[in-house]
Amino acid sequence: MKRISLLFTLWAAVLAVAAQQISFQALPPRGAVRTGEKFALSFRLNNASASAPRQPQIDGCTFIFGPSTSSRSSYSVVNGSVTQSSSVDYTFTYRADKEGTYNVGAVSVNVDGKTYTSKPFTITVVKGQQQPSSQQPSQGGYGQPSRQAPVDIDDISTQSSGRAVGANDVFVRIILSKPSAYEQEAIACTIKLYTKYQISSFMPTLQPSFDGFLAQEVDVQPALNEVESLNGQNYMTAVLKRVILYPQHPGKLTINSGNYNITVVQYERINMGLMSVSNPVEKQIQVSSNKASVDVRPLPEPRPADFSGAVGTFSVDTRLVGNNFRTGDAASLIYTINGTGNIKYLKEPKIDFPSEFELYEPQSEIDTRVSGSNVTGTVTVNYTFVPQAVGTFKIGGDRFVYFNPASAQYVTLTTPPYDIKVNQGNASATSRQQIESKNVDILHIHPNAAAGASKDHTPMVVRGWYWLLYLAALCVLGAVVYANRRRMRMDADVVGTRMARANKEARRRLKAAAAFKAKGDTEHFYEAVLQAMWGLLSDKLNMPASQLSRDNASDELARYGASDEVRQSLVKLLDECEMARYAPVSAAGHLDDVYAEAARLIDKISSIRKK
Amino acid sequence: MNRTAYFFSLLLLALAGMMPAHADSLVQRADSAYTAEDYTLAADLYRQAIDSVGPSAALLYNLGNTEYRLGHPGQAVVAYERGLRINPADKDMRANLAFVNSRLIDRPGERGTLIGNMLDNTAMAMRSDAWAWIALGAFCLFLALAGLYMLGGSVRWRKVGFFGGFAVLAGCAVALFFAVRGAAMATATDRAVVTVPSTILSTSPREPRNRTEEAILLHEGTKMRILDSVSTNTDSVKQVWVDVQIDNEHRAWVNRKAIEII
Repeated sequence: MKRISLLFTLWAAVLAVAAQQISFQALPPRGAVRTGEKFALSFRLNNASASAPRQPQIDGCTFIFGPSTSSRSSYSVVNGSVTQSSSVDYTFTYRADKEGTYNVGAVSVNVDGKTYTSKPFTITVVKGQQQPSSQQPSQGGYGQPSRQAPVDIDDISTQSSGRAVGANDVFVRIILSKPSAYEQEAIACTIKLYTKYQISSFMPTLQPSFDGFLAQEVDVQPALNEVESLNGQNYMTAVLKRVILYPQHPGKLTINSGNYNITVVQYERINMGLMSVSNPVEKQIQVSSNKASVDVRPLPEPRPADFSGAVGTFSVDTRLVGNNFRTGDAASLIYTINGTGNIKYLKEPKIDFPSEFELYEPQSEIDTRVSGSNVTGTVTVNYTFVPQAVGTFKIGGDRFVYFNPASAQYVTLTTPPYDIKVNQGNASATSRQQIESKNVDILHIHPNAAAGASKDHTPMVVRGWYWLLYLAALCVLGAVVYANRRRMRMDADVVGTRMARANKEARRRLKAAAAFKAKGDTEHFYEAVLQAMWGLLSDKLNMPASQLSRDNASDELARYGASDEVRQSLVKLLDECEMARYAPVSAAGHLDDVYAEAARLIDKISSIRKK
Repeated sequence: MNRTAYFFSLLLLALAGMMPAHADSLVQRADSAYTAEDYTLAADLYRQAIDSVGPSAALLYNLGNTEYRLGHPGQAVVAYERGLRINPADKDMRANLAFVNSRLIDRPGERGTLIGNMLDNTAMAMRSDAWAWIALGAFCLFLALAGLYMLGGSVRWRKVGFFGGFAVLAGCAVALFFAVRGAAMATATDRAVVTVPSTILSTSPREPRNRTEEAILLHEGTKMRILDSVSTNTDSVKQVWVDVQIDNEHRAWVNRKAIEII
């Protein structure tokens, strides 16, 4: 390296000696000149000395000062030969006022009576920052200018220590990428320092607070390395902080201002007689940033039921690892969400697994990067499951619903369900399973519900008729007992029973007689009447019929208290019947008389009671 | 006169013939609305059917299901409890009531005494009427055995009548006891259920004035026993506050509007 540079030096020296002649050339500014900027025009005179040339007039530019002279000379001895060269630069400083292309005419110098002339050239002035010409600093003035010029980043003469650092000179801005956004929509927030002075130290005393936002900070290296024009003035800028914000609730959200302690460098001009020296002086100032606010719009209603909370643009994909499942062997379902938006804050999707699967806590991996004013990335969720039962199951099949702020619409992405067949694994070869209900619910409604409907569901025990049934049952028992008692008593009293039955028996026989009478069978008629009468007497007098005769019957009746008339009528009737039985009387009226008489006597005899 | 009476009797007959048919169609429509998950319509139709022909256990059961599906556990509990009053032996009704109770927010403590609950459960094993018929049958059997004792011929039969009669009479008394107890439960007017999502009970019969007067926070579906009731007139607004016993340890006043009596 050293060798090469040495070589170059030697070569240059050889050239210089070879061109040991006087020349004069112009050194125009490189590139374009911006309006308001100062620029220098230099002219170089080689190997001669002369009085300074006159400054050239340039249209649209104001001559500020000059010429300032700088000279160089070199002297070298190479292989015994001496080489000498020198040059003088004459520099004129101008300020560009108007844009345009301007010709700079030839400039000439007089060296020992000989005139050397530079070549004319053109300079181009482009639009720079505004700077009214009236505010230019007084030319070469060392005293306090009457009106201060704006501080210029390139001109330390404007950065004097006497002047106060204005709010326009050093400030911090909070810049949001959009003035309004949907809830959860990403907003880029940049906090930027603008300064016209050099900064020697920077210390935030109060950071801006992002209340109501989720903030994701982006790594930046603050450096004053960019010149930016703002409101027609140039500043050096540095990005202090860059944050991607996700508004958490609708409404007007404000980012509070931050406070910073900044030390700026100003230049103190020390007058040392002929020349002045600029000495840097530090000055501490406090700067507050502006407040920034953003209008947060709520997500449109109605939100879909399974809205995931994702805002941005996304795509989802699921992948089942493996295709052979066995009980007791872990397998996994991988769910990938790709996209731009609040991807870092997404909840893990709830994947539907049958209850026969043992689930592990899903593992998520989030890989994001900031791109522009948003965050792009991938979330990979790994659902590890262990099938516990043999069978065919359906797993997965999720709906991922996100909101796309660009189209202001909800978008539904579906992932397909997987049908998987679980085979018997080795681990649980002998385990038998208990039957389990996965869910229970209320039992289903009953059909024919109107059956048995009634306005009155009064229980029976509070109704009167129920208790009447008891009474009735009691009465039945009472009656049965009474009847039974009566029957037993009668069974015990045989005579009484016979007597009581006598009348009934007699009437029955007489009825038979009436039947014969109707048929005209006189013989049987009389026989029946006689039977009735004798039967009656036998029962009533408690004597066997064989022992009865007309006479003792009459006597017995007398003992019973029958009247004479009855007794005589009885004897008469018996006689009549006996006679008629063997010597029939065929008088029709006679039968009726006998019948009536018999009936009358039966009544009479029945009614008598033994004394 | 005669004609009008005839006309009226005809009209009555027609109404009697039509009403069950109308109710049947109501219930069928309600059932299909329930199956189609239109629970609002189903509840409306079940209520109409109950209004027209009166309640049956199954109608109340279906109404309870519908109210549960509508997210009104309080009304569901009321319907099931009313259904159990008509038929306490309805197993499905018991199962659904237990299910809804298990989903309620409030878990009340112990209620009643051990023996009282056992007696209640026994009484609820059958309808009160079934107990009443058993009691009547036992009484008749008792009378028969009494008759056997009184009229029986041999000593052995008379012994059977005597001892059997007493045993059956005891059975009759037990059955009658349960019939009366069941009837008392079926006609009780002191049971109520919270039918609003939540209510704050007060320590005194008025709206709690500050935190110290708030007694208990209760949620929908909790059953309680009414002990007393007080009407108050504050700012010409009539309010009824009810003293209720929630379980053996909790007692407070509740606004009548927050509860429904079963």
